[in-house]
Order: sequence, then C-alpha cells, then structure tokens
Amino acid sequence: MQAARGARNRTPGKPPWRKHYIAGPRGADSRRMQHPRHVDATASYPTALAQHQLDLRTEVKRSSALPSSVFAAFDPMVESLLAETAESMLSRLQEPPPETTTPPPEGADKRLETVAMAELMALPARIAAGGPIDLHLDAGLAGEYLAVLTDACGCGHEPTAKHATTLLHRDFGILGKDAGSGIADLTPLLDKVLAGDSGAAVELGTLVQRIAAQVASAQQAAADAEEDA
Amino acid sequence: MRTPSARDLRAHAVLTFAHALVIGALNRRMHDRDSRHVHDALADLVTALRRAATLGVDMPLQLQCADDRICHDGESLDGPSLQARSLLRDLRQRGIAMLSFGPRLDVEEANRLYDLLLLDDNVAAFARSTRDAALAAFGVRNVRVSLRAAADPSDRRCGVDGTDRALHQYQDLADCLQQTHARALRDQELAVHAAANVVERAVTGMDEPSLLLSLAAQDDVDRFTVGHSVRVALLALQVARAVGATREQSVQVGSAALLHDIGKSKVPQEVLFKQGRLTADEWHWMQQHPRLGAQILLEQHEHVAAGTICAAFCHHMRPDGKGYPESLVSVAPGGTSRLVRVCDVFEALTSIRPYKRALTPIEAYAVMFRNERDFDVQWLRVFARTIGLFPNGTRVRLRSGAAAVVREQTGCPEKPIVQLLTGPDDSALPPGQPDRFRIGDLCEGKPMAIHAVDTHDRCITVPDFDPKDLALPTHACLSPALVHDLTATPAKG
Repeated sequence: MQAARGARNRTPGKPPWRKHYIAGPRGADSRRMQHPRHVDATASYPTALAQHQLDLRTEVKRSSALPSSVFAAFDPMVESLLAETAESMLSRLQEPPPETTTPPPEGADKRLETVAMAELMALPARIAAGGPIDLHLDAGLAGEYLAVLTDACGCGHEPTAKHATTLLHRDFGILGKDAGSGIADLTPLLDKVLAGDSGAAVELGTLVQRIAAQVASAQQAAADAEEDA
Repeated sequence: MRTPSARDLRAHAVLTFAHALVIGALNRRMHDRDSRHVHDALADLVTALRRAATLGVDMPLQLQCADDRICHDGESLDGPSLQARSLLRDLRQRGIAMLSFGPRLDVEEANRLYDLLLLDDNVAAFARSTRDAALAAFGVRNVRVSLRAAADPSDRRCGVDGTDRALHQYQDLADCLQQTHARALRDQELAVHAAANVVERAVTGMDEPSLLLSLAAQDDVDRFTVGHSVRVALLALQVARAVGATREQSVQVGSAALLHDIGKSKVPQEVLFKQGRLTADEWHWMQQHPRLGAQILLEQHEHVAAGTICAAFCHHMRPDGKGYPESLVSVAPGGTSRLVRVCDVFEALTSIRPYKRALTPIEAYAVMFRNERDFDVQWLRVFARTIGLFPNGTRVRLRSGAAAVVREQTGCPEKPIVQLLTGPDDSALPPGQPDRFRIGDLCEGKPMAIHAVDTHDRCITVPDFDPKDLALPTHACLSPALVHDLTATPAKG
C-alpha cells in the first residue's frame, strides 16, 4: 500500500534513482524516516514538521522528568523558516526533469542550427558548381592506411600495435630495423622542395611518413624485446 | 509549425512505444539485465506506454508480431520493424502472434517480460498450456500474450514486393550490425566477413537503393549507433553506385560505412547519449572512438579491408587531416573516408539526437555547404546530386496546396519526381488522373513547385527556385567514365 501511495507522488515511468524523482515529505521516502504514524499524509511540510515536533515533545514529556524546554533546541521562528525553505526545495526537486522544462544546456544551443532562406536559395548553384566530377573511392588509400597503421603502432595497446607492425611489414615492407635509413634522402628532397619543386613536396611527405612508420615500428619492436627479456 | 491532430499524436505514441520495445530488447541483448542502460531503456518503454494511454490509444495496447514486422491495428509499423529482426525471431520461436500491454506495466515487470521473451531457457514456457502460468510465475500481470494458431497467416513473411525486400535487406544490415556492436562491446571476435556478406547481398539485391533509403528515414529513434550506421551505409552505397563503383568497391565502401562507428561500442553510453555539453574527460572519450574503432578492426583475425579500417579512423577528419583523433602522424583521408564523412554528417544532421532536433535534408545541405571546408566539397556535391535536395520518401507540400511524396531523383537535385497524395488544398485526388509529376513540369499552365517540406513535427518552407538556375549538367550523376566521354569529346573536336 505504501509503495502504491509513493508511486502516486512520482512522475510516472521515471527511474527511481534520479534525484528529480525522490518522493517529497508526503511520499514513501519520508515514511521511511519514521514519522509518527498519525501524521496526515496530505498535510503541508511545515504542518507535518510541527506535528512531528509536537509528537516528539509529548514523547519526551512522557519518558523524561526534565522540562521539555531542555530539549527544544530550535528557535520556533528559525524552525518555521527552515520548514518553508525545505518545502520550497523539495517542491523544486519534484518538478519534472530539467530537460523538459529548462532551456537546453549551453553546449546544446550551438547544435540547434538555423538556416536562412538565402542559404537554401543558393543550394542548387553550389551543388551544380564545378560541373562534372570525377572521384575515386580508392584515391589516397595507401598513404592513409600507412598513417593509420603508424598511429596504431605508436598509440595502440599491445595486440593492436603488434598487429600493425606486422601489417606495416607485410603491406609496405617497413621494418623497425630500417629506422633511419631514409633520413639520408631527406636533405636532397628538402632542397628540391625549397627550390619550388611541387613533385618533390609529395615525395617528401611520403618519405616522412615512411620514416615515422619505421620509428613507430622500431619502438614497438623494442617494447617487445623488453617484454621478452 | 503544423499542429498535429489527436490522431497523429496517437499514431506517433504507438510508434514511439514500439520503438521503445525494440530498443529495450536491444539493450537487454547488449547489457546485463540490471544495468542502468537496460533500466533506462525500460523506463522509456513504460513512459511511452503511459503517454499512449494518456493520449487515448486503446488499452491494452496491442502489437501484432508477424515474421518480418510489428503491426498495430493491422497496419505495419515499418520504423520499429527495421531494427526488430532479432526480437521478431525470438517471438516467432515462441509462437507469439500478439502482445497486449496494459498501462500499469512497470520497469521491473517489463524486465521480467524480456526474460521470458529473449532468454533461450524460456522458449518452452510459451507452450499453449503453460503460457499463463509462466507469465504469472514471472510476475508479468500487465502483458497478455496471444499465440499463433497452427495455420496462422502471420507465419509467413508479408509478401515479396519491392518494399518488403527493402525491409528485409535493412533488417539484415541492422541485425548484423547489432551483433557486431555487441561482440565488440564484449571484446569478442567480430564477424567482419559476415558484415561484408550482408552488404554484398544488399548491393546485389538492391534494385532500387532509394527504396531502402526512404525506409531508413522512418528509423528515427536510435539509441544505439546501429540505425545511424545502417543509414550511413545505405547513403554511401547509393553514392558509390552513382560514381560508377565496381561491385567489389561498393561492398568495401558499404562495409566501411557500416562499421565506421564500431569504436563507439567502447565509449560509455552516459557519454554517448549525454544531453548538453561534454566535460573535458567525456570529450576525450568521444574523440577516441575513431581510433578505438580502427584498433578493434585491426585486432580481428580475419582480413579487414584497409578502406574499412581507415574510414573508422578518419571519418571525423577534414580533408586537410584536422579534426579528431589527433594522429601520431599527419593523415590525409582517402576517398572512402571522405565519402563516409559526408554521409555520416548528413545522417547525423537529419536525425534526432538527445541534444538536437532533426534537420530536414535541405537544411542539412545548407549547414554542410556553410561549413564546406570541413568536407571534401567534391564528394559533398556528388552526394547532393545523387541523394537530392528532397530525398526519396520526403513528404512535401506543393504550391497548389497538394500533398505529395518524393519518389524518384532526376539528376537535378531540386526537381525530383513526386507522387500526389491529395489534390489541391488537401482535396481528394480525382480518380483516373496521373499522379506522378516531375517538379518544374507544367500542370494546368503553371510549373509544379515544392512549397514546403513536411516532417512529423515541422513544416519547412522552401524557396521558389528559379527554373533558369536549376539546370545542372545532365551527366552530373553519371559514372566517371561516361562523364569523361561526354566532356572530352567536344574539347578534342
């Protein structure tokens, strides 16, 4: 019965662990705090608290010979203020989850893209620009794959790095022991690039990629050797 | 903003509930029954059910379970059915024809229902004589199960027309990807070859890829990355076909697109589906998913194509290599990765996410062209020319006031072929008259023009494109070889 009454105070279907759905003083959770049985479940929080204090004092009066004022630790005004504040806080907690009532968080604002009519208007021309297009799915794959394997070799954890090293050798003939062998070719290529040779720039990029792959592979081999030792 | 009718709201509530039922099953397969992910998904299910009850959907809410789709009131719920292959398989195994949900269903009870529906040990519980006792024993009091009669017509797949084939192909792709993500999550060996096989079957059987795409548009509730990845794969396949890719290339690009987000299976779901701004740590996690994906694929014992590994690694990189992850060495994304990136962003923009609404395709194009440096603009153009400003399946409102649905692309992205659903100003269509028109064609002396795009919650007015500006080269979407022939000959002459 308690559970059913508690359920009425929750937003239907919401997971109980979220703090937004913690039942207030009239809900099941407050009953777990062992309020006296005769507190009216429909009473407001200040009324319920006052009732609780009264019950407590009655209980003290019954079980102790000392004057009850000895146990009244709170100023009644402060107590009343505290009760109001607590009730206001609890009512806020019982409001629906913020995602349905509050504006989206700061980061989300950026994601709500707005589009001007002029932008839509310009689309056909932007799509048509450039005329026919010749594209290839395999374009640039080799260089891309080399870079991805190098990254995996340098950043991946053990099995990935090891496998990447194997693939570097199998697919590109790159071995860690060759690290440094391409460095001698760097200077003449660099001279050509500085002289404005665009073909040399591409070649230089490829060479640097291979050297990086060799170094990553060598590091992986060293790590393997260390582990074996 | 169009105000949805009460009927629309009820239909949407049923769809949302059916989606939640499917997503709940997916979560149960991927995570522990007592995990937060499962609890969260089931809370959504219960909320959807109560919302449906509040909106006046007849209770108990009855979902019929055919072999290949979920239906309500005899009407197919295609959207939820797209990712329901495994669930439907389990229901079929138990001989279940219909599930009826009472509005008092709660999360724990829903979880127990899934125990009965999904766990292999409980198949026998659905014998006709033990069904009620099993439901009672599991404490499932708000769900009723109707079993199939011996010769129930729902035992058969619902026809074999083009739409059904497309549905089955989509289900194959989604099912394959669900299993792949679940395996990746558990550090098990992936069935990469199986994924390639499914893509190959899709490529082979895809008489009309746009049919699949228009189906994909209905799969709008996706708490995994499965629906997203399937849609990205379908978009990529369509574009690959348009640029004249060989069958082998198509299978490769389809597999690459299908598995591009496999690294997300290693990202905590709290981060993946977080609403609002990510913290620095969470953002770091997100930025690692391409690298994690490439590493997962590299660790497979069976051969994974280089393009698939690269697309997983590079799909968040701009053509100049900027973006994430920050690579050890400079990376220039290749053709497949560039195409997957375009498809990925387009799909993300046109989907609902916890932190944003779905843009219509035409708005998504505008956003992407606004940031065209983020993409290979050539691939972006080819993509737009192929998919169109109004992709197939888009519901539009014409200047005449008639409602229509886009059926076919013509090579001019803003001039698709539409099929009328109503006459002017929502009047009934006159019988016997043609109902298919190309936008721009004359109808009663006036050119047919699209006035607005209609989504389930919004109506976006589109500009009146000047017909003079609309002409694209007619070969814009032809294969590179043919384009070369068409362009090279006059120059030489």
